[in-house]
Amino acid sequence: MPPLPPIKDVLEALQAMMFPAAGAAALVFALVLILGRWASAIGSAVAIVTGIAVGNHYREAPMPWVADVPSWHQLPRAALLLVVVGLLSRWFSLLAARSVVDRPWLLHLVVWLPRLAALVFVAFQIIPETMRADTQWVIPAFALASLLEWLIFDTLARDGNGGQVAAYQSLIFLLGSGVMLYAHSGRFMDISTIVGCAFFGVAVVSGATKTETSGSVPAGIGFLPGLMLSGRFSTDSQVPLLSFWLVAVAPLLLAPWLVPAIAHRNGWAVRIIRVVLILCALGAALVLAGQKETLPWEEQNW
Amino acid sequence: MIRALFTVAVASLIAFPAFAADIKLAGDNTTITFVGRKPDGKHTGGFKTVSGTAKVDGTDLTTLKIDVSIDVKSIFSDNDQLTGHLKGADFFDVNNHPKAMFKVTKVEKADKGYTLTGELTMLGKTKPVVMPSTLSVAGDALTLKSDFKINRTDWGMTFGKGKIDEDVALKVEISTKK
Repeated sequence: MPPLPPIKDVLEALQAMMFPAAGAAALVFALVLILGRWASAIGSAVAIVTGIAVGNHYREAPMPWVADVPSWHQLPRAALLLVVVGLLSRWFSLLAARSVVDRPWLLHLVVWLPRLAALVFVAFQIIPETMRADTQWVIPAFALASLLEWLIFDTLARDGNGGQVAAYQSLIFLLGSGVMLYAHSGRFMDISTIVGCAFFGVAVVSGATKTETSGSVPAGIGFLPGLMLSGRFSTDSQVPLLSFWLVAVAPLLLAPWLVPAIAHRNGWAVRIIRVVLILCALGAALVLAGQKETLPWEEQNW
Repeated sequence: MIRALFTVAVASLIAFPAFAADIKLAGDNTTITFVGRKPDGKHTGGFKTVSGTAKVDGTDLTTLKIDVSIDVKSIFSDNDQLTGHLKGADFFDVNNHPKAMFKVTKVEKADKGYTLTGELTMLGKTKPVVMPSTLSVAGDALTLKSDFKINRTDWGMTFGKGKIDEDVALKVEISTKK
């Protein structure tokens, strides 16, 4: 068990990230829900974008507002793009639903093809050229893994588990920030914490109002593997590659809930199993990182 | 006529060295080092690999132009862990921004030495820098020494704001044959 961080640093992080990001996301989501439950998808989308933006502002912009080269700088724009594509593709499918009522597979194509295209575009934006040249499978792997994560969370979120999905995303980003801390990247730790806090705000409101959060889901899709790839590529530490991978693919452990036979099972036991599965991946990632690196407050002051 | 042409040719050959000639800059004749400070201490470091050119017309130092490319991955410091941290996205983000460029565009005589004006490009951002310097041409050697400060946050290097000084002291030294 590593020693706990200094209380002063924890309070500072809460003040600078948790309250602004989670608070802004929760407030915006609650305000949009005044319009009615029908606005929950767009409400959660606007809430997550606002939460991340406010958190980034209060933490003095660890994510630059203006990006130059394809890299982690593009993460916020990628999140925004995926949120917009997520909403538009869903609305378009609702409009098209009446005319293709006998061909449901066409509706799935209308929803998921633009999303896949957006993920491929985002992959090119986030993954640096040198990494693409060294590892040619990284773009298709990124796009397909992200698409599957999106499919899993979207399905769960629209099946009455909105608050849970936002909570899973929050948990993954918040514990993922621990891997970034072991990798000695204050910037990536802050980014991961900000996104985790914003999802926490969405989760609280969604949990209290029993509303769905499929609109906010895409903000973490692409962002999570993108951040972990960047953490591996743009830090200099002994944290093993597997630690970053485990965080990036943690949502895939919920893939069994795509199987129709168990897809609609949402009892407490199922909820606990889902959290345990995610915690197993994240715990393993942190343990592996902790075996190779020390936390800043464990080290000599340099 | 032939004599006149010969005279012009000889004069041109004699005059040629007075025109600008590129002086090669590399790690063996050019050093760029820095000192970063925090409330309870300081760290020193620098860049091992630099390359570029300096150009000066004769002995007129106000015509000096310098163009240096810095291999940011060659960064070093007095602490290995710190060096690793400096290479990461918190500071130099060397994998995404492997090169920094340093260019001197104007040289003016000052009360004490010279004032060099130039541009420093790091992390994809180009910002002006002003460097009070001592410059000399002795025989065929060009010597430059400059100590100045930059605010790292101007280039987006905002990590540790409030805990690590924003101002970083830079020292550039060039000592080379013309």
